[in-house]
Amino acid sequence: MLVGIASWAHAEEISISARVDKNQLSLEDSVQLSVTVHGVQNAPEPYLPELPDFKIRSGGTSSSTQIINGQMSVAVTHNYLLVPQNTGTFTIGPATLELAGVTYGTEPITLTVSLLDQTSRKESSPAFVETSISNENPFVNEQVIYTFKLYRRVEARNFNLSMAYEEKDFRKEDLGDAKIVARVINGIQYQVHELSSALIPIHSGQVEIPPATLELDLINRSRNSQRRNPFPGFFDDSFFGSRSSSVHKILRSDPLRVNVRPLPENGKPKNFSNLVGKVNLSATLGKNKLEVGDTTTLTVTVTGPGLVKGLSLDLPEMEDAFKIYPDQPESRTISKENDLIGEKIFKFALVPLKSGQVTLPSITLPYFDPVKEAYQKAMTPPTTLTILPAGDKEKLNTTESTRSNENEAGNNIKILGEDILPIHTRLDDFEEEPLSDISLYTAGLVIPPVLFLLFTGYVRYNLRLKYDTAFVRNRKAYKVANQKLKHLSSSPENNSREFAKILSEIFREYIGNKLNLQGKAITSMEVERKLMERHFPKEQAISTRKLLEKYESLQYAPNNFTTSDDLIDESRDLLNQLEKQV
Amino acid sequence: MKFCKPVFSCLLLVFIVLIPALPCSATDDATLAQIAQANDHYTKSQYNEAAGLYQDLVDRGFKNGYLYYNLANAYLRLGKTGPSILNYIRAQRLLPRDESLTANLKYAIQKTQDQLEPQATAGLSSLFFWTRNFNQNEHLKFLLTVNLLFWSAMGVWTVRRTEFWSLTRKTLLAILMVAVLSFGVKMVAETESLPAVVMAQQIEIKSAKGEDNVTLFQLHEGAVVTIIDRKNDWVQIELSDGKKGWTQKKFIGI
Repeated sequence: MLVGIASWAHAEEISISARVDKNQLSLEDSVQLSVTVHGVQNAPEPYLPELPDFKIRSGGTSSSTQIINGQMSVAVTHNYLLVPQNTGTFTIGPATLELAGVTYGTEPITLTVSLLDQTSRKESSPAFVETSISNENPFVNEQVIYTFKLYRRVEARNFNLSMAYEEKDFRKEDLGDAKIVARVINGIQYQVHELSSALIPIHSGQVEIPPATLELDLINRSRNSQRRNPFPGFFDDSFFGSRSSSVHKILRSDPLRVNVRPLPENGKPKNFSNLVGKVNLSATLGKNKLEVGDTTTLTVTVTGPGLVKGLSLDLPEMEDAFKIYPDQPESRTISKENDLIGEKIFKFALVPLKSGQVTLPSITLPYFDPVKEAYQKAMTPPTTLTILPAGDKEKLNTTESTRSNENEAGNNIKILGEDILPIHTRLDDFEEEPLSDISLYTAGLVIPPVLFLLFTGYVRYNLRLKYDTAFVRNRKAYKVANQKLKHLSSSPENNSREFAKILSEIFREYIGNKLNLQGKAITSMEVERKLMERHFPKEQAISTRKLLEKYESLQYAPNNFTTSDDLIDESRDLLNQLEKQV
Repeated sequence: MKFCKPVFSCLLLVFIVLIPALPCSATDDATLAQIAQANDHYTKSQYNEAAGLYQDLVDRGFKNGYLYYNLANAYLRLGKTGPSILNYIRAQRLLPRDESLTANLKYAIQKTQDQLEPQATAGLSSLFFWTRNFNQNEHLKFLLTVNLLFWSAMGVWTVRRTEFWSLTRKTLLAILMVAVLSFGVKMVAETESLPAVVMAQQIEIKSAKGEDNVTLFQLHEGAVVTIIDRKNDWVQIELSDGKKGWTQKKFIGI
């Protein structure tokens, strides 16, 4: 099906057309230009011709698809809002679209833009604007109030206000949000939106403030059967059948001319700081009676036009009498009765250096009074302080004061540049990191537990030696038997029976020590059995029994034997075999 | 106290065996002379010569945090932000608490176009937050010391089973376990997510290995990234905001 629709779409002829909703309009009106591309859905946006006399705004895109008798027609409409900037007759050239190498264009359209009839404007228009200025002949730096007013007697939406001014001619300060009041002109009630700002002329001469423009949508409502509607307020809604239409309007004010007068050079004070307007100056002291080294705060408040916030203030020379530490000044502006009033507060910490009656001289601030058209001086009265000699806390206060000042100075340090910190030069620190020698680290990890195990074994061995008799007998059995055998062989017994008896005792003692038995008392058969129970090899157990029996037979034999060395050797061999087994 | 003598003998043996095993080394006079010469060049603003001498030592495998730091300073003076930041990062691995180093690294990063800083630690590294303040060698020394103390305490406890020694060995065991875990976390952090620096003037980060893939974004010299994968001549990098991509290894200094 989609393939079929695509083929229909391609079958329709591609064309482009343009139309406007009106071709006669005033400067307050706008015109809607609609450029429609037929026969293709995803075409790029057409190119509009150059229109230097209009501001162009996009009004969105809409598309439509119709299938009538199997024929599909596709159209995409691009809407634009043209806002005229000048009067005259203008031709909107062809809007063009290039598709597959073919250029399509619209027919040119002619528009006539005329001025609105100024005389009948207020009476006939549902809305109009005007601007005014509080003083058409201000001095340079004198604050003037520039006011914009919208009069309307219908509902309006989507405001877009431009109160243009030349930055080379004025500085501007806003005076807050718009105020809305009701006003009756020639018997007709209007809602008046009033917005003001303060303009401060920068230079002298004839200066023009260009027209302010306000774009808005005016809403016209027409209600069905309104005469018979008993609740017009409640049913004044589109849901209940009232119809509304909006008209986009561009309302312009007339330009204003301002004759900015220069400040007179005659009588201009040396320390004049371009302050123009009515200025008030006041000063207060924290305390009038204090000790040397103590601190009091002098607060100087300057009130005047908005530009006082850029003001700086120097105190008169008092270096002999006080140490002066200026604080960061505070400033604020207040919108009051459609005027901008500025206030700046300077604070100085004063630390008296000597005792006695000290007079703070007057603080003066020159300004130009535009009403009197003359330079004036705002002035505070001189103030007398009583400074007492320093008490015990003199040093403490002086120290605190100084520290405070140092902190302020620290905060005010201006960073002039940045740089890296220097290289490291202590040669002792240039030792190579021995990260690569893994064997050392492994040894460091393994050796302590190994040593611990060895130490534990040693301790346990000593404990057995101390408390385990069987263990001690076992450990010493071979050594004792061997020593006794050596002793016997070095001093051979003449009596062969006695020799066999001693040898039998040595061997039985060894067996007894090894097996934790009373060895001298057991028989040869018991020895064999005990050895077998302790898992000695059968041959060794039998050999041991036979050797013990041999000792016994020699003890009781009628004749002396002469092969004592052989018997010792045989005993030693068996002893060694048994020891190995143990 | 018949066992006192063997206990102390054993402890003495442990120290005799282990103390030489703890890492310490001395640098030979020729190396120190070269460092002194390089420092002298630097102070006379002969940064090329200074960087050459420092770099020669680094190329010969000499590892020292202050050497990397001085080399980074010399490169920064020469306007080579890539090598400078790379050496600052190398130095920071060995000197994690050096404030001058941190300040200079920050300054160098501000000089780069992308101003990408090393990624903040995450996961186990953030849980074991103290590991950031110690280098691997310090971790290991601490581990070896605690290991030695623990086994020594175990030895004493074998012959003197008092409440004090029981508590001491349990405490040391807990510290030893923390030291082992800390060292493990540090090892993983330094091998798994390795900070690296872009050394080329400008590089293109691709969606996958190979020049034909889509370029996701561009980085410039000195940008600090984290390497999360390596395949042949390509590395996968990650930025601190989570962006990932591939680039050739030759453009990145590790």
